[in-house]
Amino acid sequence: MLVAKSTVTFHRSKAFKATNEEGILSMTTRDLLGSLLSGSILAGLLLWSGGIWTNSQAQPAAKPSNAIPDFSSNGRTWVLSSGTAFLKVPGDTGPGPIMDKNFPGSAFDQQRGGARAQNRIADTTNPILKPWAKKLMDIANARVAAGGIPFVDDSRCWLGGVPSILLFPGEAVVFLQTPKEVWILSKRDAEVRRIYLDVPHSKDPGYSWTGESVGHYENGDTLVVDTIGLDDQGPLDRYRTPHTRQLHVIERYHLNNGGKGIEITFTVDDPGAFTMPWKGKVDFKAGTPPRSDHWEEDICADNGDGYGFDPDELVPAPHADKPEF
Amino acid sequence: MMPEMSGRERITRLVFRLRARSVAASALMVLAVTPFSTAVSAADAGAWPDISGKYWTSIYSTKIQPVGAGDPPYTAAAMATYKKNMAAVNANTLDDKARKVCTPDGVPRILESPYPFEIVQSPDRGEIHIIYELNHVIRLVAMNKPLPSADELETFPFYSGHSVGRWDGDTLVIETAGFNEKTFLDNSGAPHTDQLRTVERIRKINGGKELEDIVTIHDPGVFTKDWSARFVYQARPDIRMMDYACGEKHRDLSSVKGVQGH
Repeated sequence: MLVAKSTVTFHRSKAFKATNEEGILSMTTRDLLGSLLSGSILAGLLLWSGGIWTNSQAQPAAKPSNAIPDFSSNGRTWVLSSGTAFLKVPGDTGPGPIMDKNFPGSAFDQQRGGARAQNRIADTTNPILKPWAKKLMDIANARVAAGGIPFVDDSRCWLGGVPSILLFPGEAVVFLQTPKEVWILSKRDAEVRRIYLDVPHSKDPGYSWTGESVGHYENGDTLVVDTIGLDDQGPLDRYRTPHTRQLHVIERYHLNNGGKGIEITFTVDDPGAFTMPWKGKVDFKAGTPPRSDHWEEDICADNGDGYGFDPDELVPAPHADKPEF
Repeated sequence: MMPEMSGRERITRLVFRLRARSVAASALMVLAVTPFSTAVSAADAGAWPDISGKYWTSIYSTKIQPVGAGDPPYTAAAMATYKKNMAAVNANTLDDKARKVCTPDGVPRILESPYPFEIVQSPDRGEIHIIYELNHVIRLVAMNKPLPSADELETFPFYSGHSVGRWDGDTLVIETAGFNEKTFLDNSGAPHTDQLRTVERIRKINGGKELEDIVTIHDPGVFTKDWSARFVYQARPDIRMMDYACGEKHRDLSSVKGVQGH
């Protein structure tokens, strides 16, 4: 687990500082912009993102079914099986997610084989990026190409956001299902997502790392999750793709392979960072108990603050200067 | 947490456990009449009682309060360590990773958290999860299973230990062992060793408006006898659990009496 967590990291505030020094729209400025926009975001999202919102909230399932897909029973665990980069959704005519500049067209892990020394360089020619996002990522690319260390939230013990949490590699994911709520637990640092079923979003969900997720089942084999209220901390993939508080993500967890797999397709809509909504996907496979993918305590902060990298390049792990209480 | 075991494997593991415990045989005499000796129980049939939901204390205390008042029954050597720790807490020099880098509090310290927690029951999985907002700690309680072997508990010690549970009527009984030594028993620096074992008896009280957790603490490394503490939480279906990231601003704790410096 240490190996998996030591492949990354880049101080987010340091990255922001570097951005400021190079005269590009700073995160602080964007925060301000986001704050100005935030008052109208929640109401505006309904209108702005119309079709996507409508799909998840109002349209009846194509094949109505009362069956509840089973992601949970018999102690089942799941693991990411499609690599730590988003894949393009088959049949999607759009640009798709940010992929690797050096290994275009497919997932970084699958293309590079055993070349672990190769760090991720984002393909910033992808037209989904707004100019400020592209510039930010080009700076990160240059730093990585020069031997720097990219920042990924969970590598420095920050919470994963949505959809970046889908890329937690190789460690157990557990679904707990009750009639009103679904929990998605990640063994990696015991992260928790909660999906409230068959309810609308709150009027004011605020902003947080995991946002506010509401969901429903469709067709007896799919869990649809609609998430807003995501703060603009951290990138949404491992190519440092940024986002704003306008981020709206709809995920579809589709059971396949006789219940032994989940295809998770998602739509990302963030008019603050992207020129258009875009789609991506990952695949999960059922874990293989008893040992390899079983749940156990896995505490990120146990890895300390070293990682063997130049401290100047690292994001500080979460810490409190004094005890909170 | 544990693979399914055959009856023979269970017996083998139990024998191994008992053999490993033989050093502490005298202490176990005390436990013969306590829940510590009943972790390996037959699967209960029928529906589980329901203690699921969100809970939040209204009272916070820095020091864990033993039932009957007074200090925990520390040995003289452990009490000396405890006094040093208390002084370090006051000077903010205690190496308390739970408050500085937000590692899990462990048991019983997590029981005095001023933040809410939730209990999720999954009979289909044979598991109960207790999910604490503070430091996003997840405790997995494997129902009607034996504790891992003494060898495994020693090889894979966890902050929150390894927990198994069973129902005693409407009371959930959780036995936990296999703790690491990176935690304290409370927020005043109360020490423990990896010999720590706890038994919690958790049930709804007051018509379901409250949840009671009576924890019995066994650690012959620091205590002269077992002792208990009692925690009561209010059922809070009105709240939602929130994210927790170390050092960030979190929920308002002003409703929790005794919290300072928030």
